[in-house]
Amino acid sequence: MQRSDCRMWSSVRGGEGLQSLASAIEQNHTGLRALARFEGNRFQSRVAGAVPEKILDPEDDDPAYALANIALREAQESARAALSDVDPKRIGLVLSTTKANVEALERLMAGGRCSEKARRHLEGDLLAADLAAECAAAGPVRCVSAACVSGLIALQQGARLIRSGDADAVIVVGVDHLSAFVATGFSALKALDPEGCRPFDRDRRGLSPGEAGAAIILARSSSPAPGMVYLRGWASTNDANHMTGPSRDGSGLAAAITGALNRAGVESDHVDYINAHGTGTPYNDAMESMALRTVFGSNCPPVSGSKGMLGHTLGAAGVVETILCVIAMQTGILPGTPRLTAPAEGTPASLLLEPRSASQSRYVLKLNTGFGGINGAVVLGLSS
Amino acid sequence: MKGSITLAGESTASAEELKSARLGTRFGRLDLCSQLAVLAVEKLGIDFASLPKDRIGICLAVKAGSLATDIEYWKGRDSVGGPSPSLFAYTLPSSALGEIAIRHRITGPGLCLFGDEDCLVEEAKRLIAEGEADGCICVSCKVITPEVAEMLLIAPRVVARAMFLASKMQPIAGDKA
Repeated sequence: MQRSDCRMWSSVRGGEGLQSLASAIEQNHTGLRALARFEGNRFQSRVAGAVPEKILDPEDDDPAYALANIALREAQESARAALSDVDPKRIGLVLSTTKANVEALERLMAGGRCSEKARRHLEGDLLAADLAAECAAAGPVRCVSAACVSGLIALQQGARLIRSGDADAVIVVGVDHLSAFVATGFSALKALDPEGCRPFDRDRRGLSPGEAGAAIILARSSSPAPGMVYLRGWASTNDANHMTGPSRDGSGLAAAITGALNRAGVESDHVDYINAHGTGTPYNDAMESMALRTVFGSNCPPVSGSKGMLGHTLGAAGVVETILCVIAMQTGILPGTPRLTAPAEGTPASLLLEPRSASQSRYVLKLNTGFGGINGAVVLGLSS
Repeated sequence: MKGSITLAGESTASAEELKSARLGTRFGRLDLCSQLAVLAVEKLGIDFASLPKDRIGICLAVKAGSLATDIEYWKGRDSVGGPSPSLFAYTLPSSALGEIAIRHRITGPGLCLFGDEDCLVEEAKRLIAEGEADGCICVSCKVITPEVAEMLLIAPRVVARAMFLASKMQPIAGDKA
């Protein structure tokens, strides 16, 4: 089996669709705004990346399922022709989430009620099983939860299922919804930027939470089709250093980047664009800059971060930000870094503040890092 | 799956055993799931220091995710000073994976799955067959405390199980347990 066996189709943020994200890239739009629900002493910041209420009912007791389900259906629709010949028993589903339906926990511990389905979806594997049943994916079902790298690890897992012959197509769904649970946690860690996240900015002070449902469909492909994006390589590593802080020298992320490039058979000087993790926290962005310097030296390809556009969508981040890379490859417009105004010292000189047209974006690198020291990298390739 | 992959060790850890575990000061600060996982791996008795750390993967399966810790953390939501930031770090199902990596300085690939251990060995073998690792620590944690059991309407159970699968590696069984 060749490396280029995983074609990709995608959907993003349930209901908003790919076109909306493509427009946001072109306009360097930020979707962050102050939310009334995050007012009060418990929260370090009110700024977050929320899905519009017309898409997600604020009274829904199972928002993770709702977001994931919309994204799933849109992705299925976009890949309908390609999936029509695939036996449902050969279609797998990998869900990526950090907190599943934590909304149910908040409601139950407040003495409130929630539906049986909402309670069941506290368990990510049961949420994945119900999503698979909903879309008639009767192949292997997994639920990956690897902190903020979950999405990239889920994509890797989907590719492994195809390469090992256990599936011919895998739907990779990423979801996490905005919750008081997570917002208070990052507030307790003093990890939120009160003004909203500013990745790689000299004045950055932290992240902004976000929410998304996003889906990518991977499918076996023996003959590359022009204009299709392929998952070419991947790797994950662990810093083995600290639970909540990145390694200061960036060596773990650098090893993941090198591993993914090696697996893809792509030289570092052939990478056309990098979508960084870029949380906007002081240490993460500094570590990531160092890792890029280790691998690319002074010739770092154009790099940008997207969390100023969407917020940090946790379990969905790797999936939604990979979709952003796919759009960039197919439109030829490299995303900028919304909300970045003055790059910090030590950041790559190739940092993109604004979107820019690319003469080519044949190979793209997507990075994420997370609590527990996990690092992930994937290499995407565009078929010519 | 290609090649020969052997089960080089297997162990379990229970909540009862935690009381007598002597695994350093850091161990006491871990949440229950991480303590069980770390103890189960320790009981494998394998000298990971003698193996190439970047070629060892960790596969973790956590039934009910981090719900036991989530409940403890969220109890502090209205306390003075807010909920515990150190506990928040353990409200990720994958936190035990990080603790195992830190303890043994393991820098290879990681995979954490919500759910039972059904597919754990299968996924570890897949990592090895793909050439991503030469050995893999597999850990299954069930931390169904009475509060979790009440919330999920299932039976309580607190236990962890660890295995080490190896290919190309010659693990040395130590006496660290």
